[in-house]
Amino acid sequence: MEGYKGYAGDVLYIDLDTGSIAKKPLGQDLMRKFLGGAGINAQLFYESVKAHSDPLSPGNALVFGAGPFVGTLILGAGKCCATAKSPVSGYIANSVTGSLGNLKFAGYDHLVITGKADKPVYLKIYNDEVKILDGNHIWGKDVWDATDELWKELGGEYTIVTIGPAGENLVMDANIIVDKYAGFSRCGLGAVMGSKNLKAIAVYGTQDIGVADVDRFSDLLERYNKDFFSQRLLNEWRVYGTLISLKPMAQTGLYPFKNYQEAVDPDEMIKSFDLESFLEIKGGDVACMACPIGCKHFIQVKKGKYAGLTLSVGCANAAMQTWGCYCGSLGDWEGVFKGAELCNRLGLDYYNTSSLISWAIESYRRGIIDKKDTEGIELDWGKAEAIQELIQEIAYRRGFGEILACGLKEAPKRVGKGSESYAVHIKGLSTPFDLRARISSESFSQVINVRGGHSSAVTVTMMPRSPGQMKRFAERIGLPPKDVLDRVLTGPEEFNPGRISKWFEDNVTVFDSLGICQFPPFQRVNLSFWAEIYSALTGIEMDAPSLLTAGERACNMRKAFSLREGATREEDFPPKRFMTEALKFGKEERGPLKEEYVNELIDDYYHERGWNMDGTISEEKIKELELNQYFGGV
Amino acid sequence: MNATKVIAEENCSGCLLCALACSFFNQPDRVFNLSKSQIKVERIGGQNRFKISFKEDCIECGTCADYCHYGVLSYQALD
Ligand code: SF4
Ligand code: SF4
Ligand code: SF4
Repeated sequence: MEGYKGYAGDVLYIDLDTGSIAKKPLGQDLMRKFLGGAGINAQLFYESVKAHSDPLSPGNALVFGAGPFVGTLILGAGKCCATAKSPVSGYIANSVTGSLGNLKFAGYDHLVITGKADKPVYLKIYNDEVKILDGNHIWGKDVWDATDELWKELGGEYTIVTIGPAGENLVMDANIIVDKYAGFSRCGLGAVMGSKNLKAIAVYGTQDIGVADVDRFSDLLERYNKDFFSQRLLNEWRVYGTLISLKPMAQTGLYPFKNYQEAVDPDEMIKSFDLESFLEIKGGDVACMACPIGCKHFIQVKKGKYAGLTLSVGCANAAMQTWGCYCGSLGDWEGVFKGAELCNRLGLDYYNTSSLISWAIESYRRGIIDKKDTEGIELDWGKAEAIQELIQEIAYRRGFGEILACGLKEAPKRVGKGSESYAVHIKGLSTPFDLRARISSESFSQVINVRGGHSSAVTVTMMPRSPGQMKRFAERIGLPPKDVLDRVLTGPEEFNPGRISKWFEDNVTVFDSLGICQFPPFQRVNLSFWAEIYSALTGIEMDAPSLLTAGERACNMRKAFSLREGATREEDFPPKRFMTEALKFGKEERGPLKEEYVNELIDDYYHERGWNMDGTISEEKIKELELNQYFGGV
Repeated sequence: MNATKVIAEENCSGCLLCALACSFFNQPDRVFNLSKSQIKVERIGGQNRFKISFKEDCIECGTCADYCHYGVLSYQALD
């Protein structure tokens, strides 16, 4: 592509109904307005999907995107996005992973897949050679076997994006896995791919990613690298990955126990999930493309029941939280990674699957369901074998798994008898953070996230901070902007969770659009630096405010989709359990959330966004963001 | 004279920073392109574990070693 560098330059459209394969240039207007990755994904998705399409119908679009930074030497810039209409929430899904950079080298910034093949297929993308190939030989295989098969056929240099049996069987919480471990985990994207009869995408390429101003880019890179490696804790990140947060999260009550009935006792948590024993089974670092940290792990279980198990794990903290804490099992690292392995192979989201299972265990213990319902499986906290059996039942829709495969919204309705009260989710997505333990931007944003219960505003508020720290953080990264600081960084903890969520949702969306990792080592970079290196790389001059506006625009675009589907303010609300039951952890107890306070925070968030109090986007905001054309139907 | 060496292949995380750096700093086009890099990072055993090798036109400049933060590569005097 002439003109703009950094981008590969093209969008690849594949229609599985007709078999048509088309390549269209990515316009500069889209680059400026939505940057790339998650931002342009949202726009392409919105344009491709008609209102009220069934998420599992050919009318849904599955869009992949790799932002302009992906494929370059910018540290931490390997993050790619997948977007579709989520069968879980009925709204837009967006999920990020760090191993799809090959899409850029094949010559594409985005891939838009619509329609449904009439028999199982897979896509092979090698530069301009794009083929829809017979996938019968891999259909029915688990993620690892299908991936091995394609590596054998095509070569290990290919990135393999695939679904497991869960996706094939349209299980609500099915995910998409890249290279056997990196997940587009949440929102049921695997079911969308399965509904298209698309088992896998294999991609590799040999195209250039150019740089507009080589000298300026090189200078900026040098500056970035110098600052980056002067940070504290980099080695701890390397060694422990996301487990770096184990102690502070435990002390804040952030490990929900037994289906959020309590939080794990902090001392118990730190003692049982001992990091030294974790290191005994850690066999090496695994990294996203272009990341010098490599917070992911290669696990090698050497002894016990699962001796011989080897796997790569993206987020060890999530594995521990879900297959450990949610399911009432503490300290069993091997069991945790066995659960992770099953999910990686079968193609299931850790969070929702473990949440469903812990809901089932609680319902069983309360006598709402019994052995007849579970077809003989005895459920109890920490019973790893029964839990592992249920994971498989879900993926294959067997026995009680048929009901659980309907997801957190639907399964409790089917079971009835009051079990609905124990299903903890927002818009069908289980919530990694319990808001009763602490209201941070990370936990609060789960409430207003258009995707549902997942954090969409990552800052540094997850754990209590020392006085003045929020202001210093804001100064360092240039966000929130100076003119709003007084109303955003206020209150006893020096931040308003509702208001700050707006600014950091926009910021996270900038990261997801450019392709940068959201983790703290990358978050500490000033927004104006990203703008500068974007300009040097692409040749499109942007400053910090225009980057942030692009992030805001993408957030509003996603909301526009929700509104077109009929979303209401009522759905932006915490689960019943958080509103009615106290949370016990250790010697402490936190009362249920106060409705008035939650509503106040939601008001604050809407207000900060320039939205109306019913959650719709105000006329002025639509105009300001130049989104008029998308609001005909809202 | 110095040479670029693989000293601890088992530490490789698959980040590809070495290959990205080689293609950008050493190849005449000054672009990012894994296939133009002189270092090869190949998957082994169907896992996220890798084997490292150099192609014929490697000029032993050590740039890839500068960009490897996992202790896999080193730039050291020829012995
Ligand atoms: S810090 Fe972890 S998640 Fe982020 S880019 Fe690096 S390896 Fe990937
Ligand atoms: S030594 Fe220089 S030329 Fe050889 S692979 Fe490394 S960066 Fe490339
Ligand atoms: S050799 Fe080093 S820089 Fe290259 S992929 Fe392996 S860990 Fe990354």
